[in-house]
Amino acid sequence: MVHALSEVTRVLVRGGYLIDLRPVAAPPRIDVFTGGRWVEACTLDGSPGVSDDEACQKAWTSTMASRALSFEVQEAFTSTTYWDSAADFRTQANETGFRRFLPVGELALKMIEKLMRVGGPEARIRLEDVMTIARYRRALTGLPPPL
Amino acid sequence: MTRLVDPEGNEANHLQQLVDFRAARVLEVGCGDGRLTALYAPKAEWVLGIDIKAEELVPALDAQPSGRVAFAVAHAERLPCDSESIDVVLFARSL
Repeated sequence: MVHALSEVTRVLVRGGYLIDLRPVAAPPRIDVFTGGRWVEACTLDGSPGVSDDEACQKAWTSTMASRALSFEVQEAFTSTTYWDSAADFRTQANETGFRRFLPVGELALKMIEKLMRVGGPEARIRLEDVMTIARYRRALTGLPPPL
Repeated sequence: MTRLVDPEGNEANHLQQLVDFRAARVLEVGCGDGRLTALYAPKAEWVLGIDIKAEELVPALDAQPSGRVAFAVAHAERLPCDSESIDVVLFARSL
């Protein structure tokens, strides 16, 4: 992570921008639209990502301290992903997973499948992430970082 | 539709409010299937999208990007770009 930020400052022109778009650490909830309303099915478990978040924060702190990049602005918003098939959702859960979160348990998958069956053709699954987008600017002056 | 990411366009809207892609040389780290790339690439001078996973890039490559857009397998800790050659680096859900 530190190396990635160092690489960013190397390749950016002076005054260039780094845009960091990411989900917040809070585990997202998975809902199913069934019977004309959204029903909570489960919440992803984010336990394994905690150490990643800490390492990421340390890397940012180090980069900010070096003044190679300066923070300019940050906004928060929601980004939603939908599936209209429980089978497709299961495929993603089993094969790709959901970023750094623990795999969705079999019990939760069966609950989602049941809710989808009950919901009929209009049923769908949604995962709503709270996202942040931040802008940083490469310093206009100073020596570039070592190659 | 089997899987639809951000059909409301919130990511694209916030992205384009925060940075002007016109005539910019853009490096997108963690571009995946190129979903975001396609939204801003028409404005940019050129775009290089990279991802650590080759299989993630397949849809992006299948979309037959124009000569101004390229995709490659690369790691964020070893960016395939010259020093001080990029106007905008976009980390898309990849830090």
